[in-house]
Amino acid sequence: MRNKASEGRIKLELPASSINEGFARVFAAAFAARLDPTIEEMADIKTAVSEAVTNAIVHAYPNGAGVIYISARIINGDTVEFVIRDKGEGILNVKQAMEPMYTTGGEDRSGMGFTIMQSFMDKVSVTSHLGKGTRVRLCKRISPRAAGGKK
Amino acid sequence: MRVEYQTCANGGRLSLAGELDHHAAGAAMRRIQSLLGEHQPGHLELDMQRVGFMDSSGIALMLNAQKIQKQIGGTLRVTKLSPQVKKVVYSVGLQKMIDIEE
Repeated sequence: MRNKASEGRIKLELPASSINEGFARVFAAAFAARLDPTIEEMADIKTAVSEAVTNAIVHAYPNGAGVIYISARIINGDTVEFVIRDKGEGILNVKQAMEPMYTTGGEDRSGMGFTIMQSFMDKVSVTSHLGKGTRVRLCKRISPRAAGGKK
Repeated sequence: MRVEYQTCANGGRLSLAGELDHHAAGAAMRRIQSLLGEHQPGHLELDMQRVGFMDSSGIALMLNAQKIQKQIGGTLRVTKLSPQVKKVVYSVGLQKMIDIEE
């Protein structure tokens, strides 16, 4: 049973270190569990949030130290929204950064992070200011299950 | 992430275990590079059975493994993908570039 979702926003601050990528995924999954998602929806959310957090670690703070701010809330009673924010270097050209295969991260990175976010979430929006940081907003509607558990 | 190598009849099998994200990928790739350099398998199976989670870091790892195999004249097939891993692979069209088990 879904409660009336007026619980507000949950905020998390993470040091921008790769060890915290797993924690960010678990946080996102635990939050999304409120809407009783399927295993696939849960995996989609974990994957997209992992990509956004990894981007902040790799690109926003190339010298290591920095903080990533994640907030989560439920909108319209059926949609999870995650905002992943950093106060890092910012992206010069957001449109270019979101193109498939585009990366400044060398051969360890595929350039597919935004492509995955876009294909796994319903809405992805990115705003960035050079020298100030980047904000990625990810939304996904969780389809309600019929009585009996099946969707 | 654990990386294990086994010699097989026609080459070798690399089994990965754990979550394949950016945190794990760097060390895993260095280990794969040294294992492939050492064993030079003709055919390599990359066994994903025990990978519970993968993001785009895994895409880069698969492409790099394929690149190494090509350089040493070998082939690569990625096998036993979980539904989550498969969805990531197909969402970027990687099945057009790498031999992926259905």
